[in-house]
Amino acid sequence: MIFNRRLAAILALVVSLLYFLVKGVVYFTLGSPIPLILIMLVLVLLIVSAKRTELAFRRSLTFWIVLLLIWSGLRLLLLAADEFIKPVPEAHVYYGLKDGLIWSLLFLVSGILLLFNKRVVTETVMKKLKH
Amino acid sequence: MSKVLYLFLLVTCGLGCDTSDKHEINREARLPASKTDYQKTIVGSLSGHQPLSDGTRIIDRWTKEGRQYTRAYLHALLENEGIETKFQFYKSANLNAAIDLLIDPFKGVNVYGILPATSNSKDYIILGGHYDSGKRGAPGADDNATGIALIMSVLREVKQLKMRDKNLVVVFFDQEEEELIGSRAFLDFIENLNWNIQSIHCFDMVGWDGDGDKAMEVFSPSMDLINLYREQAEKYDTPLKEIEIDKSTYSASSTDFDVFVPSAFEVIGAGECFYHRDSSPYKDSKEDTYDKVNFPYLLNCSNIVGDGIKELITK
Repeated sequence: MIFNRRLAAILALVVSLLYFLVKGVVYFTLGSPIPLILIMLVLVLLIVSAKRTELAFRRSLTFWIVLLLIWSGLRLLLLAADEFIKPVPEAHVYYGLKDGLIWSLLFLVSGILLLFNKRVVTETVMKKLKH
Repeated sequence: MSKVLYLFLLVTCGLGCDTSDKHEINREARLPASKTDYQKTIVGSLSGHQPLSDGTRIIDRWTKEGRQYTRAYLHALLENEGIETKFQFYKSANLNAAIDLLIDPFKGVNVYGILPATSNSKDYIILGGHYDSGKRGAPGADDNATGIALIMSVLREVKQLKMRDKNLVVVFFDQEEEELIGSRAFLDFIENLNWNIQSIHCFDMVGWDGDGDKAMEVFSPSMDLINLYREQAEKYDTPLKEIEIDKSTYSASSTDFDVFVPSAFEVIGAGECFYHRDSSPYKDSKEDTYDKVNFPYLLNCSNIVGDGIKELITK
């Protein structure tokens, strides 16, 4: 059974965490540590809470989902504003949002997927940890 | 439903990983011999007034495509002078960490070439100007195709010298209009090189003379460089509007010159009288076009700068 809800949700979680981890490392090499610090905090929060209780992990997961939805929603809103309200004056910002549209959509969908499958993801993670 | 989502994840991951940056470098420049026509051709080509040799027109130098065509054209210009073109690819964090969280780092390309000294010298003189334009759809004829035309014509003249005691670097900065990112990256780059840099000369907007007084503006913390430009300006009977910068309190951040002020290098900025309020009113607009450029003024400024650089190179 390759296609199932559980696998898709776990994949969404892993890909989103990996994406921001890579982004954090890239920024760290460019002298900006904040993105790496933030993603490390999220990772620590998820790992520590998973070792405590199921409820704690689910709360941490919710926190990550909210961050993901804010991130992708904000990027999509800015791009929509560029198209329909006022063009973004900076080329770098415009192309960052336009070229990154696929990531914004990916993480919006990932966030929604995770939101509706929190219980399944939590069960899977807790089960893995017990083993 | 989950199958669709799963496929969506896979497909978007694949698409999101495509970060290729294609650079076309095979555009041939058609260049006249006379200095005025040479400058007109460069400004015309960079501002979309005339097509490049393959028929494409640079509408603006704000878009990725526009900047890519511009790099190809600059490459052709340098190659035409027998200068090997080098590209400095850089990445840079945003100036605000909150923006780092939202979008990717700055990515850009500075274009530069080196006219070597005829003697064995480690001394370098750098001429720089930005090649991007400020707004979507802005042709950027004055800002800063004129700066590029000035630099290229000075390079062409210096190349004719039989004796050159210093190496001449010409550099065209990317992303000046976006927090001076290109020149910041170039400063980082040269600080790590074994070059004995004598002076850096930055040119931004050299095509407007609204009051017709021919005046050129220079700004620098170095009185030696200001004196050099003054001597040349006197030869051409041109008023020089001088601004002496106090390095310790200087904090401006609006043109590439500003980036080099805090560094250890001697730097001077020159152009039309921006700080003396005789500057193009069309800056960053769709009206910054070829026909608004004052080419005799550009030529006169180029002569002043050219003579100064020749003196420095042969000193």
